[in-house]
Amino acid sequence: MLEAIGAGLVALATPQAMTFMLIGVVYGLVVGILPGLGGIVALALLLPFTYGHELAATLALLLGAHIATIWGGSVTSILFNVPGAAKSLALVFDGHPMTQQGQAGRALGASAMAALLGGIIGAVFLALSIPIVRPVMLALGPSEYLMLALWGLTIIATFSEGSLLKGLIATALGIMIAFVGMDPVTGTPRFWFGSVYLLDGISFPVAMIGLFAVAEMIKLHVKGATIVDRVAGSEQSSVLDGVKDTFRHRWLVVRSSLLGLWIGVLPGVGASVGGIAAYAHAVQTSKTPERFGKGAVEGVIAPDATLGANEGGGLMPTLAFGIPGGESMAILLVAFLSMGIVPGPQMLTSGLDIVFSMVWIIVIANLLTTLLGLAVSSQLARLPMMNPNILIPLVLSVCLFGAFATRGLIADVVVAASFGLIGYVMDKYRYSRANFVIGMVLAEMIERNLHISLSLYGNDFLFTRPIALTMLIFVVVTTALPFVRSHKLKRTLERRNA
Amino acid sequence: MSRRAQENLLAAVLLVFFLGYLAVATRFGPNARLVPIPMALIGLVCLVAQIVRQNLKGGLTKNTFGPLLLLTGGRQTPGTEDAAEAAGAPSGRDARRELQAFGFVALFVLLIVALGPVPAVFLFCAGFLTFSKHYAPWKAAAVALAFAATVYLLFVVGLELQLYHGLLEPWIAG
Repeated sequence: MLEAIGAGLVALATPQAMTFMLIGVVYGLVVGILPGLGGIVALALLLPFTYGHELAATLALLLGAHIATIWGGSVTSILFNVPGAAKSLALVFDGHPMTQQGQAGRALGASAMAALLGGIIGAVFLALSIPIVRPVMLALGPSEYLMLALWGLTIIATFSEGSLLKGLIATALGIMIAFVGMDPVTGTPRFWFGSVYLLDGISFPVAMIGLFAVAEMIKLHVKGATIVDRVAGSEQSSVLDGVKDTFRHRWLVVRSSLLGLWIGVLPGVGASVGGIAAYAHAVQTSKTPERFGKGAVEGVIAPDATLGANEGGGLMPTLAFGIPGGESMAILLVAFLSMGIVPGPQMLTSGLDIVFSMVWIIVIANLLTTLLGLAVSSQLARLPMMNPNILIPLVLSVCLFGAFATRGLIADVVVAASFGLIGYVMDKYRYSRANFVIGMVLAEMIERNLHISLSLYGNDFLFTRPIALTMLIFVVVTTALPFVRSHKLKRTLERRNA
Repeated sequence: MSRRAQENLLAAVLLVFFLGYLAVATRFGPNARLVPIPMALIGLVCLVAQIVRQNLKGGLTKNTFGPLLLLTGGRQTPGTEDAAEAAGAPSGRDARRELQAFGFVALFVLLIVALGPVPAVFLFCAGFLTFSKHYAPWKAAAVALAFAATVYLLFVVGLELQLYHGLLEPWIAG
């Protein structure tokens, strides 16, 4: 394992990898600071650039951008009271009041340092968990992987924002779209309607570009205004104050990071819940909870530490089981697959150096994000005021050119634009786009493992594989639980209102 | 059109899609349809339940995002369909801008198919910046030219992408 740790670092010590990481971090900061665009759009737009480079460099580009967008989202929450993404929502509760009190620098300093420490804790966790997870993974067979994939689907659908039913419908739609093209198991062409293009299936990166990036540009045009039009107040604090605050509340950072890790490991729970849960934890454990909501620095530190640590946790199920921890991880998974990185037990055996490259990337990218972000935060803060009339044509051009670049097929441009319209409609009527993507990603895993299970263990494989059966029961219970909880909560609220 | 009517229209489109998908899937062999049919059926059942829920149970989408629900004491957070329903149908301005957005995306795709990506990027950017009155035509053209050149360098030179020259190439070249 020590060899893999060293090899992971050496793979990154190339000019291309370092340059790509720097580009990724700068790009992530720029896109992350634009509310509504955020991490998913940033990653979707990078997908065409994942071909033909060193593996470590491409990973550095993607993970660097991903990590930087998370902190970018925190910046807009703190400065403009506009969460850059749902996961940054908790930052507005105390981050923006700090800005209004002229303590934006302190809030940004605390936010960046907490995210950095959280990120490092997450990376260390990812590294430490490998020897523990490896024997478990090697003991699992195709039936158990099938159950894991089903669990991933249902847990993601039921924890998603909006309606549970709509979440499940979006997931089913994603799975159904993934079955367009040649069936890899039986070789049967499915849903191709005589089109050679459809026989190859819908390209995941092209669909992502449409669903997220093109759809966001349509949304921005419909809104017809700049993303943000607020201006921060006059400054009375320094970034260093915030950094000191983070070290003063170091145990809160540790606890919040562990919470972020745990939430990251659970597929579908997502960082959105993590940020709020960390905020609630900070309030509950504070000796002066009445300060929260009025500019308490702990209200910034806790969510950012959780968001930072969440990535290390989220990578574990993504790499080990092929089950994305959340929507950004789903897009990362698409990128991994297109780079030839196949998640599963081999990732923790023959691909261990790649995993450790990722661990190193998380650490270095977090450091770079903190240093660069703090150095240019005041300039970055002007970006959301950029006129949409400039943003829309430029981003849309990159989207459609990028869609063409993924496979060099002009039909991919049409597909990306069509998915843009679909994404806009899904977002407008709250059919989770993230669930759609996760459905698309997990469909192949479900089908492949089901067929292998049937041929290896027969039609009644569930009864000959007790672990798989137990997992199926677990899937059913965890799917039903949110419905039961929602029903109970509704009844409690009705009783309280009556 | 009310929000509920829009939701119903979308549900109807999805219903047709699910039924069509099932009809096509039944023609596959037993192994090829083993997963698609159950998945489509599950989606169909959820969709029917959603249609019933949004029409008979009086509520469109509830915000089930647990922590937010707890923080708001069970009140719906802004942006849920209930809030949208209460606010009424979307304004004519929104509908107009949606049509505009769909229109310029479609136009951009047509330009790419007809002329190839690089000229399309130049024409689309120049046109958008001019017609949105953001820049004067000459400045819009200069910005678009610089951007198209950057995109060309990035994708064609940097990524060695084989360019598509568009359906109109034979006529333009001839």
